[in-house]
Amino acid sequence: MSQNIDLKQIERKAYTSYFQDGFWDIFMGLLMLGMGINIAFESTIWYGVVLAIAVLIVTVGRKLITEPRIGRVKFGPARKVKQWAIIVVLTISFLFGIGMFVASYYGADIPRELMATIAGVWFCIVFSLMAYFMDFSRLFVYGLLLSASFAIAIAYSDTITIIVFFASAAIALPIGLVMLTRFLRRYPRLPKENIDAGS
Amino acid sequence: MPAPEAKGEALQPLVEIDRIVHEPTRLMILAHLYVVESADFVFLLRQTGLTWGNLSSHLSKLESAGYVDIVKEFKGKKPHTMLRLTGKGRSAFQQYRQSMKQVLDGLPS
Repeated sequence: MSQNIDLKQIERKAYTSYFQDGFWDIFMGLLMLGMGINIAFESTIWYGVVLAIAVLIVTVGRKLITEPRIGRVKFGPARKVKQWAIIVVLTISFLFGIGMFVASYYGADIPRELMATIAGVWFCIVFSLMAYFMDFSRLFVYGLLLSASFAIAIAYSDTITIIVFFASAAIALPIGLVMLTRFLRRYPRLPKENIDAGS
Repeated sequence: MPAPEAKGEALQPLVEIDRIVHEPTRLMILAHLYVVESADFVFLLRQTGLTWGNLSSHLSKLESAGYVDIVKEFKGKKPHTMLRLTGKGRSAFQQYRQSMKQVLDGLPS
């Protein structure tokens, strides 16, 4: 009997239950939408605005929607190591992004092809690492989708690139919204008196 | 065929099995708490699929046995209760796994 208790599987299931809310998919959809808007309006400001909205949606949504519905948990040491790895990956990628932005803002003459190649490879590596450390396989797909969009940006015109980014967003956003709807149906908010009784 | 005494000896760990852990629902709760540092009531409720009353009653038994600790903390300004396995609870769960494995591995397939 006890041989059938797969503790790793239980831990993984508990951890990945936090990705059933669809907020990461919505975040990725908005990220790709922001990139499309960035190229369409030739303004990094718009990309920043959309990215800020995406971060806000994920942060607030998880706090106000996800946590009250599926509860709160502190994972064990092995998962904490993975979480630190994610923080390191995100910090490095953020600093790299800032560096690229500053370089392009202050007129560093980086050819479009080189910029798109760096961005494509960078996104692919970052999202693959995050997907691995987070046990969240859909991030692999989104990373590949982003890289493919950048590859298209090298080969084709801005119009096609914008369409590809918007199409990628049109894949991720509905997935996120459907998952969020299913999540809300599956995990209705518990009555307050029950929560109080439990705590 | 092994002698009855030998057979009894092989199954001795079954007699010593911890009945608090052995109950399937409590075993499920313990397994979930074993893989995390701490979790709240809602989390356990969702992961195990138990009803509020059922979970509450099993947690009380585990708490009485000293296997589960109730930790009061603050989430912002609101008090929040987290549940975690005590050292005794962790050892009991590990011991249970070992005993069951020992018994089941010893049985002919």
